[in-house]
Amino acid sequence: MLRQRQIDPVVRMLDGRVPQKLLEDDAWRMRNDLHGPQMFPDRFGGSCVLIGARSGLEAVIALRERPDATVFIVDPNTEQQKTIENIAQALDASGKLRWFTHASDLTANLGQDFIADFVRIDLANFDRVTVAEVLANWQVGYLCGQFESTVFDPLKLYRECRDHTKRFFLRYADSFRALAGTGDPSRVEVSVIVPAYNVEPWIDECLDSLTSQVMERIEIIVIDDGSMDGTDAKIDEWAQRFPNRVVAVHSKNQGGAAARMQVLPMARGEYIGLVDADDWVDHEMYEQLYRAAILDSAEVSQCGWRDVYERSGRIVEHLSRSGREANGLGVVDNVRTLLADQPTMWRRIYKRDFLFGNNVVFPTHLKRFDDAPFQFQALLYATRISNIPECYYSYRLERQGATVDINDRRLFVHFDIVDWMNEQVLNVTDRDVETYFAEFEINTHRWALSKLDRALKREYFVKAARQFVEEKQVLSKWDLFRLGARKGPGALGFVALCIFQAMLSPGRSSRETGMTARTAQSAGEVIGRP
Amino acid sequence: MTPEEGALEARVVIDTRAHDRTPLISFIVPVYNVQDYVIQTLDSLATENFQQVELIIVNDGSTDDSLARVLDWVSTMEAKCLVLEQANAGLSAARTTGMEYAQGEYVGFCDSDDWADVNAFVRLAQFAKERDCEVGLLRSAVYDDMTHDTYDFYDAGVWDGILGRASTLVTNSIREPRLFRLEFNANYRLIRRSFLFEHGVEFPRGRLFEDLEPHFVEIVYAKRIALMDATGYFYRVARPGKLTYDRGMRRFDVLYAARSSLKEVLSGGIDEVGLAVVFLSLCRVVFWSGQFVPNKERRKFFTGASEMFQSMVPLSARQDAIVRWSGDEFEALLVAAFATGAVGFLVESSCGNKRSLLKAMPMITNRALGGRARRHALRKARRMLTFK
Repeated sequence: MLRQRQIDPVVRMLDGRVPQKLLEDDAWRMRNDLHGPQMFPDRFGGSCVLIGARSGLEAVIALRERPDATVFIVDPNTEQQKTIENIAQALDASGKLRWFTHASDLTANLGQDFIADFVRIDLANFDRVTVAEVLANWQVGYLCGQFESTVFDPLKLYRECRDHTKRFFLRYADSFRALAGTGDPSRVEVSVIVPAYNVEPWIDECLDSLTSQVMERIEIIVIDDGSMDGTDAKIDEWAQRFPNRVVAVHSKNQGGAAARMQVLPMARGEYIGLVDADDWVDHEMYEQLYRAAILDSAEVSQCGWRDVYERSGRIVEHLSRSGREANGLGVVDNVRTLLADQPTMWRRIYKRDFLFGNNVVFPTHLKRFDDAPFQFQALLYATRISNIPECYYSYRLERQGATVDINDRRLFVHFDIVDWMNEQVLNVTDRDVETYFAEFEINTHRWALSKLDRALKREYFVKAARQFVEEKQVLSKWDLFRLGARKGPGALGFVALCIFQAMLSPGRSSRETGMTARTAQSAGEVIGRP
Repeated sequence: MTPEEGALEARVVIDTRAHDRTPLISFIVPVYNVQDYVIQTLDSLATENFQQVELIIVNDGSTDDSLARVLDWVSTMEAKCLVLEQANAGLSAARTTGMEYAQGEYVGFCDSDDWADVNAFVRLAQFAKERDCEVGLLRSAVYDDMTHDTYDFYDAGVWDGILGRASTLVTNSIREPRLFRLEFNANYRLIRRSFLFEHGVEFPRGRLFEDLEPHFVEIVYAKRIALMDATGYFYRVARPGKLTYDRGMRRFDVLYAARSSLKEVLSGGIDEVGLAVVFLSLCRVVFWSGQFVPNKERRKFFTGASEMFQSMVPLSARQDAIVRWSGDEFEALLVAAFATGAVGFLVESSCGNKRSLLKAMPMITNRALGGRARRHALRKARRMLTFK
């Protein structure tokens, strides 16, 4: 980032000797970081290659600011060569400036493996021939410039730059947006983690859909969570068939959360995906999610999904439309609006560094529904989420042994989840976040009450009411009431009854009264409503 | 970790410096688990003036590949480097160790995931030396690692105000109290080494906000401070796991840092005007970090803060901060709340409650605040109500 003051004297040197419009444009560019955070070779004594001379401003500033660097200009049009060389001479830096007409001449002169610390390619020169020459034959430290997205597919360009430069920063010609990243020729793009427990009938379909992904640099880590059917053997079979893609891990039964936590550190991918072993995905899914995440520089990207009902064969599509654009594409405007959604963590990919850096975890003491706290943390800490509407994930419902279908005491795990969230995640919070969490609680409890066995409803409700009303850090009862009112009559009824219940029997130790039974009864009625 | 005194046992890994002459600048670079970023940082500090700049790299017990990469870099460079190694003890301890080994006329700091424009620092040092300044300052910029945007740092407005249209300026805190409002980070400045030791500038070990007290010490004691209108330091933000995002109880450290800052400026003989500005900038820092204190502790946090301010900052300075120095409406109310102990307002605002003005009543009706400051706060509150 150069300040006007550093640019002005050089502009005065060139003024009247080079095309005025180009000069003004270049001055604007240098002031506004068109070429990203870097403007010169970052290495002492490095080389600065400017493909397309433009006004010469960049070259002269480089010679002035970095006398240690050598500046190479590549431009077949040599009209301004004399002018710029004269100025270099005036700066006593004529030996530091060299002119070539083509990039290939530079290669021929300086040899392959020429170390190009800083390369700027002007839009007019950003063609396939030049880019191929630069990426294939030079060792590029920092590549910048502008490209036409009608000529270059941005993701393809991203991958090429990632494989052949140390760092790159390219701007779209039609907008100020940037395509930037660091080089890593062997990077795995996505790691998919699949915990498998007694899923023999479904695991083949799942792994088949994952191994046939369009994305090439994908790894699939399957962990057998102590299955008692033939799941473990099937997993090994897949690992043998795809030794480069599938990693099989075996452990004793420890629950989905612990299984995922065990293999998370093994994931090498830039992003991490999570798939349930009884579901399957479209072969395009990870390629599309990765494209969205990279092009929007997002920490998380998400797509739609379809519910597949095993018994009836019914399929319900859920297009995802939370992006900024009117059609729901692109970056999600207010990430927090996603917080109250039902847990659908499998339709997303999460940047690995983001998960680790923010310590987003699966609480291993939870035996089920550990996806809810994971999703809440991930979405709470994310600042950029990219959205694509298509349904790529197929979510199987009504299968035997699935946790979604339980209706007994196991649903009481929700209280542990909320407790854990209150202690670990919401201990530092604001009104916004707590409101979304309260909304999440309302949705979850109403869903659980609608599933629960009749005999357990009362006990569940009493517990839920206390926790919901009394363990809020910021929100008052009145705030909760208003939230309920905003969400519709069912939610309002639930909240009102919760507040009533909590006022009747405050504290964890109080006993249940006849009154409580009645409120619980009517709560059941409110909840029963669709 | 508790703050301890004294230096830690540090081991010299490699020393390529010449010891017969004094370099112009010693850059101290603490390194802790930054293998992906540290080379870029070091590259940005290498210069043709390697006789003038020495790098003191302190490996703070990294558990990743950082040290190996640093040594690899040092072996290929002409730069004058000293690499030290010590058991992990935090940023402050690493800086302190580095300061003990520094030989340069001026000392600068650079965090190992950010980067600097070393040529700008050399020019600043030459200018500062020429004009006999104890402290030199450069502008800083922010690079967002995720969105890839670069923009001026948040204190750019303060810089514009101080510089006017000048490209360089020599001033001090008596002429220009707004210097206290600059960002307190240690990284965008050069400090004369003799000045550092003379005034015992030290970074409190094992605490967050270690830069706060040194900032105020430097500004209040320096007779001449050089400012140069060039961007010298680049912060990398949105890197996951950066220290700044630490949530939780360690945020109470800011109260400790604010108290010792106040003590320092008071014993440095600060005048009323300067104190008002110090109070205002401390209010901002304390409120900002209050947003990361656990909600259950927030009332205690803000009570502690405003009691501290009320006992240490005289009423006239508090009034002055409200009436003369505060910027927008919210800032005026914030300062008034700290000045009068309207803790309810602070707690509610820190939770993002926009309708917390009701809780501001105690401060607006507080007679101790004095008529003029009260009327000012009231006017700001009214404006906030009508505009939002």
